[in-house]
Amino acid sequence: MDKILITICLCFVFIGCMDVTKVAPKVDTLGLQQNIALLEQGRDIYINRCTKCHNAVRITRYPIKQWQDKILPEMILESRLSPAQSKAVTAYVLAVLLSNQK
Amino acid sequence: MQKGIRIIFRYLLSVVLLLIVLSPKDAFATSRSTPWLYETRTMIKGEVEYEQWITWKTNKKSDSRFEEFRFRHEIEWGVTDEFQLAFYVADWRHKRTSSEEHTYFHDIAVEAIYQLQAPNPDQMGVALYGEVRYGSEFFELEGKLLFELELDQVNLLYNFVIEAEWEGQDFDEDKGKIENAFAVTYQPTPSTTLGLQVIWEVEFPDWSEQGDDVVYIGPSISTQSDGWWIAVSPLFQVTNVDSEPDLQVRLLFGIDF
Repeated sequence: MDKILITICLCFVFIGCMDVTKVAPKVDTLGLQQNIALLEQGRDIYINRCTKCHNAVRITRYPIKQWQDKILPEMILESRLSPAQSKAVTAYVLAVLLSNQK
Repeated sequence: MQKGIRIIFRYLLSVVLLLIVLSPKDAFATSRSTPWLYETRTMIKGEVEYEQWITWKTNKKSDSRFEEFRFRHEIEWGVTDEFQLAFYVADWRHKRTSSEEHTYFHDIAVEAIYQLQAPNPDQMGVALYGEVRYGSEFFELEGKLLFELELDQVNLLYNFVIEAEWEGQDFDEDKGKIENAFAVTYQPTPSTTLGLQVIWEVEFPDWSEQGDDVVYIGPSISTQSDGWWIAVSPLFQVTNVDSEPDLQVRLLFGIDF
Protein backbone atom coordinates (compact mmCIF):
# COMPACT_ATOMS: atom_id res chain seq x y z
CA MET A 1 0.00 0.00 0.00
CA ASP A 2 2.87 2.38 0.81
CA LYS A 3 4.38 1.82 -2.64
CA ILE A 4 1.04 2.66 -4.23
CA LEU A 5 0.74 5.88 -2.25
CA ILE A 6 4.29 6.87 -3.21
CA THR A 7 3.49 6.18 -6.88
CA ILE A 8 0.35 8.32 -6.70
CA CYS A 9 2.28 11.16 -4.99
CA LEU A 10 4.98 10.99 -7.69
CA CYS A 11 2.28 11.23 -10.36
CA PHE A 12 0.96 14.43 -8.77
CA VAL A 13 4.47 15.89 -8.45
CA PHE A 14 5.07 15.13 -12.13
CA ILE A 15 1.76 16.77 -13.06
CA GLY A 16 2.51 19.78 -10.88
CA CYS A 17 5.73 20.37 -12.83
CA MET A 18 3.89 20.66 -16.15
CA ASP A 19 3.40 24.05 -17.75
CA VAL A 20 -0.04 24.02 -19.36
CA THR A 21 0.34 27.53 -20.81
CA LYS A 22 2.72 26.08 -23.41
CA VAL A 23 0.06 23.80 -24.89
CA ALA A 24 -1.76 26.63 -26.69
CA PRO A 25 -0.12 29.93 -25.72
CA LYS A 26 -2.35 32.98 -25.50
CA VAL A 27 -2.00 35.36 -28.45
CA ASP A 28 -0.77 38.28 -26.30
CA THR A 29 2.22 36.17 -25.23
CA LEU A 30 3.44 35.66 -28.80
CA GLY A 31 4.81 39.20 -29.15
CA LEU A 32 2.90 39.94 -32.36
CA GLN A 33 1.22 43.21 -33.34
CA GLN A 34 -0.73 42.23 -36.48
CA ASN A 35 -3.72 39.97 -37.24
CA ILE A 36 -4.55 39.70 -33.55
CA ALA A 37 -8.27 39.04 -34.17
CA LEU A 38 -7.49 36.28 -36.66
CA LEU A 39 -5.01 34.66 -34.26
CA GLU A 40 -7.49 34.91 -31.37
CA GLN A 41 -10.08 33.17 -33.55
CA GLY A 42 -7.50 30.52 -34.47
CA ARG A 43 -6.69 29.84 -30.83
CA ASP A 44 -10.38 29.63 -29.99
CA ILE A 45 -10.87 27.00 -32.70
CA TYR A 46 -7.74 25.16 -31.60
CA ILE A 47 -8.79 24.78 -27.98
CA ASN A 48 -12.51 24.31 -28.55
CA ARG A 49 -12.95 22.43 -31.83
CA CYS A 50 -9.86 20.21 -31.77
CA THR A 51 -10.53 19.17 -28.17
CA LYS A 52 -13.96 17.86 -29.14
CA CYS A 53 -12.24 14.58 -30.02
CA HIS A 54 -8.83 14.65 -28.30
CA ASN A 55 -6.51 16.61 -26.04
CA ALA A 56 -5.10 19.85 -27.35
CA VAL A 57 -1.63 18.85 -28.45
CA ARG A 58 1.27 21.08 -27.40
CA ILE A 59 1.89 22.89 -30.69
CA THR A 60 5.68 22.95 -30.36
CA ARG A 61 5.70 19.17 -29.99
CA TYR A 62 5.72 18.76 -33.78
CA PRO A 63 7.91 20.53 -36.40
CA ILE A 64 6.42 23.12 -38.70
CA LYS A 65 6.71 20.85 -41.76
CA GLN A 66 4.65 18.12 -40.08
CA TRP A 67 1.95 20.64 -39.13
CA GLN A 68 1.80 22.05 -42.66
CA ASP A 69 2.03 18.81 -44.62
CA LYS A 70 0.10 16.39 -42.46
CA ILE A 71 -1.53 17.44 -39.19
CA LEU A 72 -3.35 20.62 -40.25
CA PRO A 73 -4.71 19.29 -43.59
CA GLU A 74 -5.93 16.06 -41.97
CA MET A 75 -7.48 17.71 -38.94
CA ILE A 76 -9.12 20.51 -40.94
CA LEU A 77 -10.77 17.85 -43.08
CA GLU A 78 -11.74 15.76 -40.03
CA SER A 79 -13.24 18.75 -38.19
CA ARG A 80 -15.01 20.03 -41.33
CA LEU A 81 -13.69 23.56 -40.78
CA SER A 82 -14.77 26.34 -43.15
CA PRO A 83 -12.06 28.04 -45.27
CA ALA A 84 -12.13 31.04 -42.90
CA GLN A 85 -11.75 28.82 -39.83
CA SER A 86 -8.97 26.84 -41.53
CA LYS A 87 -7.12 30.06 -42.28
CA ALA A 88 -7.45 31.24 -38.68
CA VAL A 89 -6.28 28.01 -37.04
CA THR A 90 -3.39 27.65 -39.52
CA ALA A 91 -2.31 31.24 -38.82
CA TYR A 92 -2.40 30.63 -35.06
CA VAL A 93 -0.43 27.37 -35.19
CA LEU A 94 2.24 28.86 -37.46
CA ALA A 95 2.46 31.98 -35.27
CA VAL A 96 3.11 29.83 -32.19
CA LEU A 97 5.79 27.80 -33.99
CA LEU A 98 7.53 30.85 -35.44
CA SER A 99 7.39 32.64 -32.11
CA ASN A 100 8.99 29.60 -30.48
CA GLN A 101 11.88 29.70 -32.97
CA LYS A 102 12.81 33.28 -32.01
CA MET B 1 -12.27 -21.89 -16.61
CA GLN B 2 -11.55 -23.65 -19.94
CA LYS B 3 -15.21 -23.63 -20.87
CA GLY B 4 -15.53 -19.96 -19.93
CA ILE B 5 -12.55 -18.99 -22.05
CA ARG B 6 -13.92 -20.95 -25.03
CA ILE B 7 -17.21 -19.07 -24.68
CA ILE B 8 -15.38 -15.73 -24.62
CA PHE B 9 -13.27 -16.47 -27.69
CA ARG B 10 -16.16 -17.80 -29.76
CA TYR B 11 -18.27 -14.83 -28.79
CA LEU B 12 -15.55 -12.25 -29.42
CA LEU B 13 -14.69 -13.73 -32.79
CA SER B 14 -18.31 -13.56 -33.97
CA VAL B 15 -18.79 -9.98 -32.77
CA VAL B 16 -15.50 -8.75 -34.26
CA LEU B 17 -16.14 -10.42 -37.63
CA LEU B 18 -19.64 -8.98 -37.79
CA LEU B 19 -18.44 -5.49 -36.94
CA ILE B 20 -15.57 -5.60 -39.43
CA VAL B 21 -18.05 -6.47 -42.16
CA LEU B 22 -20.51 -3.75 -41.14
CA SER B 23 -18.11 -0.96 -40.24
CA PRO B 24 -17.36 1.82 -42.75
CA LYS B 25 -13.62 2.26 -43.26
CA ASP B 26 -13.39 6.06 -42.94
CA ALA B 27 -15.19 6.48 -39.61
CA PHE B 28 -13.41 8.17 -36.70
CA ALA B 29 -13.78 6.55 -33.31
CA THR B 30 -14.46 8.47 -30.11
CA SER B 31 -12.31 6.45 -27.77
CA ARG B 32 -12.29 5.75 -24.04
CA SER B 33 -8.87 5.99 -22.44
CA THR B 34 -9.74 3.88 -19.43
CA PRO B 35 -12.40 1.16 -19.19
CA TRP B 36 -13.35 1.93 -15.55
CA LEU B 37 -13.91 5.69 -15.66
CA TYR B 38 -15.81 8.03 -17.92
CA GLU B 39 -14.31 11.11 -19.51
CA THR B 40 -16.24 14.32 -20.03
CA ARG B 41 -16.00 14.34 -23.82
CA THR B 42 -19.23 13.44 -25.56
CA MET B 43 -19.80 12.30 -29.11
CA ILE B 44 -20.19 14.67 -32.03
CA LYS B 45 -23.79 15.22 -33.15
CA GLY B 46 -25.00 12.41 -35.39
CA GLU B 47 -22.09 10.08 -34.60
CA VAL B 48 -23.00 6.46 -33.83
CA GLU B 49 -20.70 3.94 -32.18
CA TYR B 50 -20.91 0.32 -31.12
CA GLU B 51 -19.15 -0.48 -27.87
CA GLN B 52 -18.44 -3.97 -26.57
CA TRP B 53 -17.75 -4.53 -22.88
CA ILE B 54 -16.21 -7.68 -21.43
CA THR B 55 -15.47 -7.89 -17.72
CA TRP B 56 -13.85 -10.87 -16.02
CA LYS B 57 -14.01 -11.21 -12.24
CA THR B 58 -12.12 -13.91 -10.38
CA ASN B 59 -10.18 -14.86 -7.20
CA LYS B 60 -12.75 -14.42 -4.47
CA LYS B 61 -11.46 -15.56 -1.08
CA SER B 62 -14.91 -16.59 0.11
CA ASP B 63 -15.39 -18.92 -2.90
CA SER B 64 -12.33 -20.46 -4.55
CA ARG B 65 -14.38 -21.56 -7.59
CA PHE B 66 -15.83 -18.13 -8.24
CA GLU B 67 -15.48 -16.76 -11.75
CA GLU B 68 -17.73 -14.41 -13.70
CA PHE B 69 -17.77 -12.99 -17.23
CA ARG B 70 -19.98 -9.98 -17.93
CA PHE B 71 -20.89 -8.82 -21.42
CA ARG B 72 -22.49 -5.55 -22.44
CA HIS B 73 -23.47 -4.52 -25.98
CA GLU B 74 -23.78 -0.77 -26.22
CA ILE B 75 -24.89 1.54 -29.02
CA GLU B 76 -23.98 5.21 -28.47
CA TRP B 77 -25.48 8.13 -30.34
CA GLY B 78 -24.49 11.78 -30.33
CA VAL B 79 -27.81 13.62 -30.06
CA THR B 80 -26.11 17.02 -29.95
CA ASP B 81 -22.46 17.98 -29.54
CA GLU B 82 -23.01 18.07 -25.76
CA PHE B 83 -25.56 15.31 -25.21
CA GLN B 84 -25.27 11.61 -25.95
CA LEU B 85 -27.52 8.64 -25.40
CA ALA B 86 -26.55 5.00 -25.14
CA PHE B 87 -28.61 1.84 -25.29
CA TYR B 88 -27.35 -1.39 -23.75
CA VAL B 89 -29.10 -3.94 -25.89
CA ALA B 90 -28.43 -6.93 -23.67
CA ASP B 91 -26.25 -7.40 -20.62
CA TRP B 92 -25.59 -11.04 -19.94
CA ARG B 93 -23.30 -13.02 -17.70
CA HIS B 94 -21.59 -16.37 -17.31
CA LYS B 95 -21.07 -17.15 -13.65
CA ARG B 96 -19.44 -20.05 -11.80
CA THR B 97 -19.56 -20.51 -8.05
CA SER B 98 -18.94 -23.48 -5.77
CA SER B 99 -22.61 -24.42 -6.04
CA GLU B 100 -23.55 -23.70 -9.68
CA GLU B 101 -22.49 -22.57 -13.12
CA HIS B 102 -24.83 -20.83 -15.54
CA THR B 103 -25.17 -18.27 -18.31
CA TYR B 104 -28.03 -15.81 -18.02
CA PHE B 105 -29.51 -12.54 -19.25
CA HIS B 106 -29.18 -9.81 -16.63
CA ASP B 107 -30.61 -6.51 -17.85
CA ILE B 108 -31.08 -3.87 -20.50
CA ALA B 109 -30.13 -0.24 -19.89
CA VAL B 110 -30.33 3.33 -21.11
CA GLU B 111 -27.62 5.90 -20.39
CA ALA B 112 -27.39 9.65 -20.95
CA ILE B 113 -24.38 11.95 -20.66
CA TYR B 114 -24.65 15.72 -20.74
CA GLN B 115 -21.48 17.78 -21.01
CA LEU B 116 -21.68 20.96 -18.95
CA GLN B 117 -18.18 22.16 -19.81
CA ALA B 118 -15.74 20.74 -22.34
CA PRO B 119 -12.20 19.90 -21.23
CA ASN B 120 -9.49 22.04 -22.78
CA PRO B 121 -6.27 23.76 -21.65
CA ASP B 122 -8.29 26.72 -20.32
CA GLN B 123 -10.93 24.89 -18.28
CA MET B 124 -11.88 21.68 -16.48
CA GLY B 125 -14.32 19.33 -18.22
CA VAL B 126 -17.54 18.61 -16.31
CA ALA B 127 -20.37 16.27 -17.29
CA LEU B 128 -23.43 14.60 -15.78
CA TYR B 129 -24.19 10.92 -16.30
CA GLY B 130 -27.41 9.00 -15.66
CA GLU B 131 -28.26 5.35 -16.25
CA VAL B 132 -31.34 3.20 -15.74
CA ARG B 133 -31.04 -0.60 -15.77
CA TYR B 134 -33.91 -3.04 -15.76
CA GLY B 135 -33.90 -6.82 -15.71
CA SER B 136 -35.59 -9.84 -14.27
CA GLU B 137 -36.13 -8.98 -10.59
CA PHE B 138 -33.60 -6.18 -10.92
CA PHE B 139 -33.81 -2.39 -11.21
CA GLU B 140 -30.99 0.11 -10.82
CA LEU B 141 -30.51 3.86 -11.01
CA GLU B 142 -27.02 5.24 -11.36
CA GLY B 143 -25.80 8.82 -11.33
CA LYS B 144 -22.30 10.14 -11.90
CA LEU B 145 -20.51 13.44 -11.74
CA LEU B 146 -17.61 13.44 -14.16
CA PHE B 147 -14.61 15.74 -13.95
CA GLU B 148 -11.59 15.93 -16.25
CA LEU B 149 -8.51 18.11 -16.15
CA GLU B 150 -6.46 18.21 -19.33
CA LEU B 151 -2.75 18.93 -18.87
CA ASP B 152 -1.06 18.54 -22.24
CA GLN B 153 -0.37 14.79 -22.53
CA VAL B 154 -1.71 14.05 -19.04
CA ASN B 155 -5.36 13.92 -18.02
CA LEU B 156 -6.76 13.69 -14.52
CA LEU B 157 -10.17 12.06 -14.19
CA TYR B 158 -12.52 11.88 -11.24
CA ASN B 159 -15.92 10.18 -11.20
CA PHE B 160 -18.26 10.39 -8.25
CA VAL B 161 -20.83 7.60 -8.54
CA ILE B 162 -24.00 6.88 -6.62
CA GLU B 163 -26.10 3.78 -7.29
CA ALA B 164 -29.45 2.59 -5.97
CA GLU B 165 -30.40 -1.01 -6.67
CA TRP B 166 -33.55 -3.04 -6.06
CA GLU B 167 -33.69 -6.83 -6.42
CA GLY B 168 -36.07 -9.69 -5.71
CA GLN B 169 -39.58 -10.65 -6.85
CA ASP B 170 -41.08 -7.56 -5.25
CA PHE B 171 -37.97 -5.43 -5.67
CA ASP B 172 -37.78 -5.32 -1.88
CA GLU B 173 -34.06 -6.04 -1.47
CA ASP B 174 -32.45 -2.67 -1.84
CA LYS B 175 -28.92 -1.46 -1.51
CA GLY B 176 -26.85 1.56 -2.39
CA LYS B 177 -23.29 2.10 -3.47
CA ILE B 178 -21.04 5.13 -3.49
CA GLU B 179 -17.90 5.08 -5.56
CA ASN B 180 -15.01 7.47 -5.91
CA ALA B 181 -12.84 6.78 -8.92
CA PHE B 182 -9.62 8.56 -9.84
CA ALA B 183 -7.38 8.10 -12.85
CA VAL B 184 -4.24 9.63 -14.24
CA THR B 185 -3.69 9.03 -17.94
CA TYR B 186 -0.70 9.80 -20.12
CA GLN B 187 -0.62 9.95 -23.92
CA PRO B 188 2.89 9.13 -25.20
CA THR B 189 1.45 9.39 -28.72
CA PRO B 190 -1.93 10.80 -29.82
CA SER B 191 -3.27 7.29 -30.44
CA THR B 192 -2.02 5.55 -27.27
CA THR B 193 -2.99 6.22 -23.66
CA LEU B 194 -1.50 4.69 -20.53
CA GLY B 195 -3.30 5.07 -17.22
CA LEU B 196 -3.41 4.31 -13.54
CA GLN B 197 -6.71 4.17 -11.71
CA VAL B 198 -7.89 3.89 -8.13
CA ILE B 199 -11.48 2.93 -7.34
CA TRP B 200 -12.93 3.13 -3.85
CA GLU B 201 -16.37 1.55 -3.39
CA VAL B 202 -18.60 1.57 -0.33
CA GLU B 203 -21.83 -0.45 -0.21
CA PHE B 204 -24.87 0.35 1.89
CA PRO B 205 -27.10 -2.75 2.30
CA ASP B 206 -30.72 -1.58 2.80
CA TRP B 207 -29.29 1.94 2.91
CA SER B 208 -29.19 1.44 6.67
CA GLU B 209 -25.57 0.77 7.46
CA GLN B 210 -22.22 1.05 5.77
CA GLY B 211 -20.79 -2.18 4.36
CA ASP B 212 -17.20 -2.97 3.54
CA ASP B 213 -14.89 -0.49 1.87
CA VAL B 214 -13.24 -2.01 -1.19
CA VAL B 215 -10.33 -0.39 -2.99
CA TYR B 216 -9.06 -1.46 -6.38
CA ILE B 217 -5.97 -0.20 -8.18
CA GLY B 218 -4.75 -1.02 -11.65
CA PRO B 219 -3.08 0.16 -14.85
CA SER B 220 -4.75 0.61 -18.22
CA ILE B 221 -3.76 0.89 -21.84
CA SER B 222 -5.79 2.01 -24.82
CA THR B 223 -5.14 2.57 -28.47
CA GLN B 224 -7.18 3.98 -31.33
CA SER B 225 -7.11 4.23 -35.07
CA ASP B 226 -9.50 5.42 -37.78
CA GLY B 227 -12.90 4.00 -36.91
CA TRP B 228 -12.00 1.84 -33.91
CA TRP B 229 -10.39 1.82 -30.48
CA ILE B 230 -9.66 -0.69 -27.73
CA ALA B 231 -8.95 -0.31 -24.00
CA VAL B 232 -8.00 -2.90 -21.41
CA SER B 233 -7.35 -2.72 -17.70
CA PRO B 234 -6.88 -5.13 -14.80
CA LEU B 235 -7.87 -4.00 -11.31
CA PHE B 236 -6.41 -5.57 -8.17
CA GLN B 237 -8.09 -5.44 -4.81
CA VAL B 238 -5.77 -3.83 -2.24
CA THR B 239 -8.18 -4.27 0.67
CA ASN B 240 -9.10 -7.59 2.28
CA VAL B 241 -12.78 -8.02 1.57
CA ASP B 242 -13.31 -11.77 1.13
CA SER B 243 -16.67 -11.45 -0.62
CA GLU B 244 -15.28 -9.31 -3.45
CA PRO B 245 -13.05 -10.58 -6.28
CA ASP B 246 -9.35 -9.85 -5.95
CA LEU B 247 -8.94 -9.43 -9.70
CA GLN B 248 -11.15 -7.81 -12.31
CA VAL B 249 -10.17 -7.31 -15.93
CA ARG B 250 -12.20 -5.18 -18.32
CA LEU B 251 -11.78 -4.96 -22.07
CA LEU B 252 -13.71 -2.41 -24.12
CA PHE B 253 -13.64 -1.87 -27.82
CA GLY B 254 -15.58 0.55 -29.96
CA ILE B 255 -16.32 0.86 -33.65
CA ASP B 256 -17.77 3.98 -35.28
CA PHE B 257 -20.48 3.85 -37.90
